[in-house]
Amino acid sequence: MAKREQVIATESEQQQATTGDQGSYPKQIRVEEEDPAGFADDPITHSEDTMPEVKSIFREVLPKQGQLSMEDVPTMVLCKPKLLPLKSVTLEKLEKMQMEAQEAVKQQELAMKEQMQ
Amino acid sequence: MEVTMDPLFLAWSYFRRRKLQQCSDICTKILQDNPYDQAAWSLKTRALTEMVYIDEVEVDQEGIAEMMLDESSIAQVARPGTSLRLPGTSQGGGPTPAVRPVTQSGRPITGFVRPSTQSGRPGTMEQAIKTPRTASTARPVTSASGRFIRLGTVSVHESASMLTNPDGPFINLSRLNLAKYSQKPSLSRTLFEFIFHHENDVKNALDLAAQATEHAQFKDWWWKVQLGKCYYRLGLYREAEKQFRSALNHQAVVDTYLYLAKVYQRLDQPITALSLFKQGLDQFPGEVTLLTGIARIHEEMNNIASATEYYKDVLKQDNTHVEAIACIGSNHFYTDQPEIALRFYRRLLQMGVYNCQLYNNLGLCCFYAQQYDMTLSSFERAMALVSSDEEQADVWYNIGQVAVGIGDLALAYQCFKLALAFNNDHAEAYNNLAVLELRKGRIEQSKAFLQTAASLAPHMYEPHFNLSILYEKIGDLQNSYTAAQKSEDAFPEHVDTQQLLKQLRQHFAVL
Repeated sequence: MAKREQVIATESEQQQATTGDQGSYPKQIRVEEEDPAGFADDPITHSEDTMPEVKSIFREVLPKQGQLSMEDVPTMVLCKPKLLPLKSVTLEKLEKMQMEAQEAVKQQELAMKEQMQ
Repeated sequence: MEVTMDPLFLAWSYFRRRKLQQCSDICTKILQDNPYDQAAWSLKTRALTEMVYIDEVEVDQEGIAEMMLDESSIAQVARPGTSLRLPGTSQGGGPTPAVRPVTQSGRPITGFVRPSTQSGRPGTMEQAIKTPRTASTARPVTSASGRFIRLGTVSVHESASMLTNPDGPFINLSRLNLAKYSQKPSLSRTLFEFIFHHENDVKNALDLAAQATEHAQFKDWWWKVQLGKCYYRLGLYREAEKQFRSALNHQAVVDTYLYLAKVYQRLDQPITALSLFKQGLDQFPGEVTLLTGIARIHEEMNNIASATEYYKDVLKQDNTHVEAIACIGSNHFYTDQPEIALRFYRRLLQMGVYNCQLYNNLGLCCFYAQQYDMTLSSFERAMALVSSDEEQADVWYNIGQVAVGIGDLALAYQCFKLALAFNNDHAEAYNNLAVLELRKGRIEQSKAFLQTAASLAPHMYEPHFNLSILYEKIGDLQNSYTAAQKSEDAFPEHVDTQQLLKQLRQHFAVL
C-alpha cells in the first residue's frame, strides 16, 4: 500500500511538477520577450535607432551580369505646373474698361434705387 | 484781371497729355456756347474715341454662331499643316501634353495672352456651349470664349457713352446726315472713328465709309482700310479682303498687312497669311509686328520650334518685346530648362513688368531651377498682386505643385483645396487632389474628384487616365476601358494609356 501511496505521491508530485511547469512556461516566454539581451546586438529587429531600409531580412541581390528587369506599374499622373501667361496691353485695357463700366453701372443702379425710395 | 487761356487751346493741351475727360468737358462747354464749333466738336469726338480705343488688330470676337456655323471653310478635314483648327496637324513636333499643359483647343499653353488667343476654338457644339460656364476671364488653359470679351466691349461701349453724357448721347447717329459729313474730309475721319470705336455702330460706320470713299473717288487707301474693318466686323471676310487688297495697291501700310492677315486667319488660311507677312517684310524689313504675326501663326499651328525662332528675330529688332520674351521663356520652362526661363522672366522684371503672373512664373522657375530661397517669396508677392479669384486659385495651385515637389503632401493637399475654394472649376486642382486622396486610401472621394475634373476639362488626358487606372484597380474594366479611350483621344501618343488599353483588350478577349 505504502508503495502504492508512494507511487500516487510521485504521480501527484509529477502532476504538481507538470502544473508547475505549465505555470512557469508563459513566464519563461515573458522573460524572453522582456529580455533584450539576446537581441541587443541584432540590428534587424531594433528598428528605432537604424534606418528602416535595413529592416528587410532578405539580402539585396544585385546581379553582376545578365539583364536587369523591373515591372512597370502604371501610376496616377499629376497635372503639370502651370505658367501663367502674361496679358497684352489691349487685354488689360479691355478688362480695366469692363471693370470700370461694371462699377459705374452698379453705382448708377444704386443711385436709381435711392431715387426710387 | 486774370488772363485766361483760350479754352480750345487748353482742350488740345489736355488731349495731348491724354487727360481725355478734362478735354471732353471743356469741349462740351465750348459746344454749349456755340453748337456749330467744328473744331471743338471734332476734338471731342477724338477724346471720346481715345477713351475706349482698342487696337483693332488685336480684337477678335468670334461667337459660337460664327464658330459652329462656319460657311467660309473650304474643306471639312484640312490637310496636315494647313489649318489652324486641327491642333494635331503640325509636322514640327510640338511639346506633348505630358510636359506642357494644353488649352481646350488642344494647343500647348502660350506664354502670352491676347484677346484673340483667349478664344480657343471648341471642337463640338456641346463643348462650345459648355465653355462659358467653366471659363474664367483670361485663362487660355480653360480657354474663355471670345464672346465674353464681346459682351464686355458692348457693355463698355454702351455704358461709356451713357456715362459720359448723362443727358443723352453726344451725337445722335440716327439724325446725322452722313452724306453731308462724308463730304468734309476734316470731320469725316474723326466721326468715323467715333462711330466705329465709341458707338460700336458698324452699320452706320460702313455707310459713312462707303460715302466717303465714293467722295474720294475710290483713291483714298485710308477709307478702304476702314471699309475693310467694317466688313470684317460684319463677318463679310471676302469683301474685307478685297478692300484691304485694294488699299495695299494704293499704299503699302503695315496696319493693312496686319488686318489682311487677320482676315486670312479667320478664313483658316494660315499659309496665305504667312506668305502675306513675308510680302510685308519685303516692304518693311525687320518690322516687329509682322515678325510677331508670323511667330503667332507658327505657335497656333503647334510648331513651337519655328515660333521660337521668329520670336528671337523679334527680340533682335526690339529687345523689350514683352510677348516675345514671355513666349521664349515659357518655351524654355516646358523644355526642361527652367534656369534659362528664369533669366527671361527676370529680364521682364527688370523692364518693369510687375504683376501676379510674372511673380508666379518666377516662383515656379526658381523652384525648378533649384533656387529655393527665392521660390516662396516670389509666390508671396504673386499673392499680394492678385487681382481676381481665378488668379489666386492658379497661384495656390502652383504652390501646391511646389509642395508636392518637396514631398509635403499635407501642404499640397491644403493648397489644392484652397485653389478650389477660389475657383471651383479648377480641373487641374481636382485631378491632383484626387491623386492625393487615393494615396490616403479614400477611393470614393478620389473617384468623385476625377470625374469632376474629367467633366470640367475633357481636353486634359490626366483625369481620364487616372480614372481608368482607378477603375481597373477596383475591377470595373468596362468603365476603365471607356476612360482610357477618352485619355487616348486627348493624348494619342501616351504610352501608358496604350499599354493599359492593350491589357484591357486582352482581358476582354479572354472573357
